[in-house]
This record gives sequence, structure tokens and C-alpha cells, in this order.
Amino acid sequence: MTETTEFALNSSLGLTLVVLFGIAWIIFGWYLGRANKTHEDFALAGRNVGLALASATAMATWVTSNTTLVAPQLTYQFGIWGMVGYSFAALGLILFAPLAARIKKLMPNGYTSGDFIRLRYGQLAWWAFIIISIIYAFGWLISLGMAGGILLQALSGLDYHIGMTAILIICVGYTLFGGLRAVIATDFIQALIIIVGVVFIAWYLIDTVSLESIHQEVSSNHPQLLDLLFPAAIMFLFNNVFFGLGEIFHSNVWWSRALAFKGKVAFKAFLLGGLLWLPIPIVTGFIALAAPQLGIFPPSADMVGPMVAAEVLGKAGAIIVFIVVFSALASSLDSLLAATSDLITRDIYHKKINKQASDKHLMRFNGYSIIGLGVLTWLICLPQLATLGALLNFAGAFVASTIFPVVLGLYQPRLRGGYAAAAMVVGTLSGLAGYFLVGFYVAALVSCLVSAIICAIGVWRCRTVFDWQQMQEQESNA
Amino acid sequence: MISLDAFSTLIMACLLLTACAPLILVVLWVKDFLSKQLW
Amino acid sequence: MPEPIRLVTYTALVFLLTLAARPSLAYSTAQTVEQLKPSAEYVLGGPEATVREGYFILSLDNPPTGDVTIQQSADTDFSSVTAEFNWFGDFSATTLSGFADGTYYFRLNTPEGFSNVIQVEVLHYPLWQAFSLFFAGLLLFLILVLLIVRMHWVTDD
Repeated sequence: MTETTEFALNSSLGLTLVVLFGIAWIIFGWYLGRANKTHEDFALAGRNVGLALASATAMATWVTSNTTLVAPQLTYQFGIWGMVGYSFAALGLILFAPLAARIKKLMPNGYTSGDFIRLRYGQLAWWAFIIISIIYAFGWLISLGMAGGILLQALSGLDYHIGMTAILIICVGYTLFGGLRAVIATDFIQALIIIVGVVFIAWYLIDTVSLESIHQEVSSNHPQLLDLLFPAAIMFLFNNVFFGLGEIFHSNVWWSRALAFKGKVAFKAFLLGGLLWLPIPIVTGFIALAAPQLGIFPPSADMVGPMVAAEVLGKAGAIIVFIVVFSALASSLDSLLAATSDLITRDIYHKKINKQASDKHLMRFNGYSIIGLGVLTWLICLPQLATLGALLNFAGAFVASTIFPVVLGLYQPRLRGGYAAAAMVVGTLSGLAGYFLVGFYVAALVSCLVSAIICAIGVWRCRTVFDWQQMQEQESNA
Repeated sequence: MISLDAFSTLIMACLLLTACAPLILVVLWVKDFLSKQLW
Repeated sequence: MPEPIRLVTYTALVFLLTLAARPSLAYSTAQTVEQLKPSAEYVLGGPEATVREGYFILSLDNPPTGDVTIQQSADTDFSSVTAEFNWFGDFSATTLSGFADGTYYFRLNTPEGFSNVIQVEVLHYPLWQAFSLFFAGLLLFLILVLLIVRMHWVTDD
């Protein structure tokens, strides 16, 4: 070991923590996985998840990397509006509550969001939807894998490749052994760890640095951060809201949860999860505002949160930060692995390739796809290309185009598949055009707007009415 | 520019609400556990 | 379902694999001697275009070795230094944020002297543009919320 003074933790301690956590999570995942007898158990935790675990998993999956890394980053860049605007992402969970109840009612035996699009809109829209889903899932998986490597390196000097490999192996491990049950149970514990850690860090920060001195330093040297009329922040606000709505409304991460929750629990769980999540980005974001007062100016804005926390709390605190960040990344990564492998198993393998596959066979294939996804993510993360991490930046253009097709598809029988497909494709293309021609702050907004207009025309011009029964009948044959 | 009072109120209120979240989750868990409604 | 012994074996193997991956790199990489340059030779880089969001990244051609700071001034000759920011660790970039409209000059301050001076122009977007996007977003959002609430109300029995 040559030099460790630059890092809050030394590398061997970092590595020990990773290995200990890894073993604990994997054994826990295996323990929970013993109850999985069928593919339904594995993919949807037996469709009987109660309110406590349901609310915690809704919140924890949404807390995760977004809140511990992105909220401080946005606060560092956009100030007060950055953190308040970020907390508006809770609206995604809250608005998904009625949709989740509707999903449970329309397709009590459904498996994935892809199932819904296929039954409701047909093949063409399904293709558009599945491509958007896969692009988004990979963007997120890669950014999480890379964030894992970069953050463990920033905190402890542990090599990027080791951090990235370890976090992928651990998440693949317990998701593989335990399925959605393990994902949900670990989410509950990870949620508690993250919140307690974040509250402790913020409280300690206020106690040592004081709100007055933070306010004074920021207002004299970085005045724009406290300005409520900060143009870029105002422009970006609703774009971020639509990005969040698109992420939640389309992603199988949230659909599989809605389908896994017990009867009436889905609505309450998403509502409660959203309300509990609402104040968290402001607490984590606030940590970034203390950076100038502490003389910390991060190499890149997304590292500001952990750097401030590690600086203020010293070595003992750095362990807390390490564990919080690690839990945060893991609780998103596991959910994404589980939900994306379900999508591949159910929508692509079972429905397109092997329609006669037995339940046992599907369960095994689901396991293989978790491993496959892990390996593929690992390979893409290996060269540590910064540009890949930026992939998630324009994912907003993709996901926001699904908002109206999903919402109208669930409630409005007068929207046909052709229009839904056009709304997603044209919406995405317009969003991407906005991203490259105008700026990142319009991508999701333009995408959602264009797709809403196409959907409106579709509903207005439609003369036939979709029979909701079709979702049930085909489901029982499946 | 946001005043010190408004800034402090916002942060402290959110900190307090966030601190309540684990308590709510644990209470719900105990309730579900006792009534065997966890899974 | 995996049996306990198989599980433990796989888990152990998987971790051994991680540890064996690149052990020499598991520890922090310190600067090699060849990479060290006299501080006066640092070249500071900044945003080429006008900054519209009030934050930007300053970069160095090679990571600093000792304690260095960034000095900020309103004029090229640095007659008065308006702010000084610590450079964090041995990273080769730093992100500064929250700047209001104006022209700023930056240079690197090292024990051996100063680096080149760079100019950063900050000009925020006009407020009318910001608010038109804001209200367009708000309108679309309200339509969505009303749609969901109404349709849920109608279909919920």
C-alpha cells in the first residue's frame, strides 16, 4: 500500500466491508429463496406482499442511487430548486398508486409491463415498448455498475474494476438465489440503513457546520444556488418530473411490484412510499450545499454528496457513508436485475421463443437471464467509459414517451395500438431531437408532449372500443 | 434569494419527516408480522 | 433450489475471483515519478462556450501533487482575488457552481507560482424562456393528473 491519506477509508477496510456485506446479503437471499416453489414465486414473490414490505420496497428502490447521488448533484448544480425539484420525483410514486390498483384489477394474473402492452396494444406497440424498456434498463444498469466502481474508488481507493465487479456479483448472487422475495426483503433493510445514515449525516453536518454559516457562504460566493429565479433550474423542473413519471410508469421494476403486492395493498403502498420519499432528497441534497463552506469542490458534481459526508464525519463516518452508498446502489441494482430478467423470460423467451416452456424451465431460464444481464453489464462497465454513464441523460426522451400510452391504455378503451406505437416512436424521436438541438432540459418534456398529442388524436379518431375482457381471457390461456 | 429562516425551516422540517420514516416502516412491519401478513 | 453446500462453495469462489481479479490495483494508485511536473507548468482548462447554467468544470492537464487552490478574480491581472477554492485531492478536474451573470477569471495557485489564466463567461438563460418551459410543463402535468384522477374515479367501483 503506497498512499491512503487522500481517501477517507483505506482500501483493505473497504474491501472487507464489501466482502462482509456481500456474504450477508447472499446468504439472506438464499434463506428467503427457499420458499420459492414456482416461477410465480420467484418472479412475483407469490403475489402476496403485505403493506410494510410493499411500502418499503417502493420507497427503497426509488431512494437508492437517485437520492444519494443525484439529489446532491442537482443541488450542487441548481441549488434550492435542484433539491426541491428533485423531491417532486415523489409524484411519480404517488401518481402510480391509482395505476397500480388498476393494474391489479385488469390483470390479476399478469407478469410484466410488456404483457400489458402486448395484450392491450398488440405487436407493433409491444416492439416499440420493449426497445424503450431495454434501452432504459441497460442505461440504468450500466450507470449503477459504474457508479459502484467510481464511488468505492473515491471513498476508499479500491480499484474501479474491483468495486464494480463486487457490487455486480453480490446483487446477481442474492437476486439469483432469492428472486423478488430477496429483492423486497433486502430493500426493506437497505431502506432503513439508507434513511438512518442520511439523517445522521445531515444532523451531524448541521451540528458541526451550522445552517447559518452554510447559508452565508453560499449566498456570498455561489449566490445563484439560493436564488429562486434561477433560469436553468426553473427550465429543468418539469422536465425532471416527466423523466421520473416515465421511469416509473413504463418500467417493469414498478409493474412487477404492483403485481406482487397483496390485493388492496398496491394503492396504499405506492402512496405511502411516495410520501415517505418526498422529504429525503431535500435532506440528501442539502448535504451538497455545505460543500463550499467545507472547501470541497468535487471533480464531478455527482460525487459531491459522499465526499462532503466523508469529509465531515472523518474515518468512522466514512464507514457509514460507504455502507449507505453501497446499500443504495444495491437496492436499485437488484430490483433492476430482477425486473429486467422477468421481462426477458416472460416477454421474449416464453412468448416469442418457447411457448411450451414448463414452469420449472422458466424459473431456470429466469436465473440464467439474471446471470446474463450481470455479465453483459460487467463487460460494458469494464472499460470505464465516461460517455456510457451519460447514457441515462437522454433516457428521459425514451421513457417520457410512454407516459400517456400507459395511462390511457389502462383506463381509456378508445386508443388503438397503432396510435400508441406512433406516440412512443415519434415522441422518443422528438425528445431526442430536442435533447440535441435545444438542450437536456427539454428532452422528456418534448417527448411527453408529442406523445400526448398523438394519443389525443388517436382517442379522438378512434371508432372502436377495446374490450377489457380480452386481457383476462388471453391471460388465462397463457 | 431564499432567506436564512426559510432555508432553515425547509431543511429542519424535511429532516424531521425523514427521521420519522424508519419508525413508520418498523411499526408497519411489526403490525404485519404479528398478523402474519408480511408475505 | 441451491443446496447450502453448493451455495457456500459458489459464493466463496465468486469472492475469490473478485479478490484475484487485480490485487495489485486494489490499493490506491499513487503518482509515479515520471508523471510529476513542476507546478508552474500546469495548464488550466475551462469551458470554451458561454456558461448558461452557472456551473462549469475546470480541468488540469495532469493531477496536482500538493495543496493547490483556484483563484477567482473579476479582472485578468488578479488585482483583487474575489474567491479562492481548494483543489480536491489529486483529481484532474473540479466542478464549481452557483455563479451569477458575469465574466470571471481563474488561475491555479501553487507553492511554485501561478498557472495560465482562463476566462469564463456566465450568462443565464432569459427568465421568459425559463418560465415558458415551466408553464408548458405545468400545464401538461396538470392535464395528466386530472386525467388520472378522473379516470380512476370513473372506473373505480
